[in-house]
Amino acid sequence: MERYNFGFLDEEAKREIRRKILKAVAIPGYQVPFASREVPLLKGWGTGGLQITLSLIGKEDILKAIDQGCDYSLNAMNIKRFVRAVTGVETTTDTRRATLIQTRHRIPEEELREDQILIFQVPYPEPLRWVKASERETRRMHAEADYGLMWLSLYEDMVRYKEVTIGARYPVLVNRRYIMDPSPIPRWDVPKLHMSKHLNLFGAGREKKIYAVPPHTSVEPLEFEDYPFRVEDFSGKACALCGSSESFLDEIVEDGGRRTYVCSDTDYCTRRRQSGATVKS
Amino acid sequence: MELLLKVESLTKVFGRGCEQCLSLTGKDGNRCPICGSIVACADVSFELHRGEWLGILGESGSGKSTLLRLLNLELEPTKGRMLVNLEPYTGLDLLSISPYSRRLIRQELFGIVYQNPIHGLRMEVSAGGNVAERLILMGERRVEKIRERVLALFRRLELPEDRMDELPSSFSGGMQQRLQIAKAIVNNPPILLLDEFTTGLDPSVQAGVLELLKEIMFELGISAIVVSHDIGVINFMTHRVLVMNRGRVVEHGLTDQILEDPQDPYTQTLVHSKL
Ligand SMILES: Nc1ncnc2c1ncn2[C@@H]1O[C@H](COP(=O)(O)OP(=O)(O)OP(=O)(O)O)[C@@H](O)[C@H]1O
Ligand SMILES: [Mg+2]
Ligand SMILES: [Zn+2]
Repeated sequence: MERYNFGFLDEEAKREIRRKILKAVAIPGYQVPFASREVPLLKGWGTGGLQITLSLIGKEDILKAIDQGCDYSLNAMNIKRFVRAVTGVETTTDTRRATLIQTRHRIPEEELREDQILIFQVPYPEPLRWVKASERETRRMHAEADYGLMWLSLYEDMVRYKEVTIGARYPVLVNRRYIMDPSPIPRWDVPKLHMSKHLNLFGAGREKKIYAVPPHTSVEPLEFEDYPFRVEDFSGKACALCGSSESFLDEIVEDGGRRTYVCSDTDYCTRRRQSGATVKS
Repeated sequence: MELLLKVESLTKVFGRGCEQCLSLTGKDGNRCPICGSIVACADVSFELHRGEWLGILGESGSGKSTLLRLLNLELEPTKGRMLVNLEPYTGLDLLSISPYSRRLIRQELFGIVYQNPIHGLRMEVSAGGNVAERLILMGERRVEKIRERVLALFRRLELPEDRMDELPSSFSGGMQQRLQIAKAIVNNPPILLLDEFTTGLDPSVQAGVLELLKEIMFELGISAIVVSHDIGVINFMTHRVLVMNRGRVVEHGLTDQILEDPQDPYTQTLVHSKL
């Protein structure tokens, strides 16, 4: 791949994306349109996130890529292989060593630092699409903070089911101004966006949007006081590999129908085991 | 009475407009012979006082609904100023502010009831949800409190409590209008805007809705602008009246006096044809 520029995209494309990122950081939660490029990736696999990664990455960076918390999934491996090939940078699975983390649908369990950037791949950037089909209308609604319809859909959920039925992609209010789709992370990860130390960047390739949650920015799930937002409940469950009861767990149904749970964040789980954590019996 | 709202030279031209639009319309029609634009409202000025009910009377096409939508800050005016005497907005021209602030101010100051419930209600949202929207937008985040308030309004407007969570499309015309009223007053706005809100109703239902609304408006001490082409409604609901023709105010004064002794020839034909 030597005939490609460092980072695959040409310098002009990278500059344009970086400009859009700056704008996104300046207006937390606001979706900035950008000229999405072609990048050689399987369709449906986050070319938005990859373009952000490629336009930010420098020779000194260390990249981590995860798919639903896992460093070893085919997709995550492909991303790392591709970025290595077009930049020569080092890749890692260690959350603490990474300077850039590209993710699909998870935020690492380990709290990120000021010097780290988390880059999300976003399939559907528009949180108001639940309630309004037209792009023109949703744009107007964001401009005017006309969020009545969105709130009403939550209200109706309360009335009908006594809880909000949204699982992943839980809508949040960023910086007390824009409603934002945090991408399909579980509810578990939503509180990690609030006042985070690290920068969060979101890229939607197909829909050509970039948005951001800068460090130390308020991110509040839409909720009613008497029906507060709740994360997934893993009480009484623990990781079958490392014994953790403080991490987001994936359910595994074994052949006999028995259910076990393991950490969705593979790096977190591995490190706990390496430091001697075991399953309590 | 204390001044609440002051409207100056409110003008709305639909179309691209030209220099002659205002001077060449008003006599024969509201379409500019030069550029073809429609002058829906031209230089409308008036004042509304606290607790006052002001009528806008005029025949079809005279610009009443356009005027009301301008007042509700949902239409971009061609020209004009609109000032409220209410803290913290005193001295602010409501027509000069950003769409974002405009929405905030609109939901605080105005409640509106449209002739066609399709414009005033979200038909895909429950009846109670329709009423609740404003409360939520104004920051109420307790479902219990919201439902208490909605319930109280359902009772006051004689709406069936047990249908609070049904879609309003299953409601009768009279119920839909009462639902719009509940929605309009849920956060006690100082000004109520009513656009031919009984026109679509069966005459047998009209009187009841008018009576109930008048009672509620009196209780709330709310100010109101009542648009109608129906002299009976204007007579029943308003203290003062502006008569509009082809986008212009042709006469204004106390409702009793104007209906008894109209000066303008247009008003005279309106009043006499309907009596
Ligand atoms: N969106 C629009 N585009 C172009 N012309 C419009 C528009 N809305 C209203 N008009 C025109 O403006 C004029 C005033 O209309 P408006 O609806 O305000 O009258 P009205 O007094 O409310 O009439 P009615 O009693 O029939 O409701 C009419 O000539 C109408 O055709
Ligand atoms: Mg009308
Ligand atoms: Zn584990």
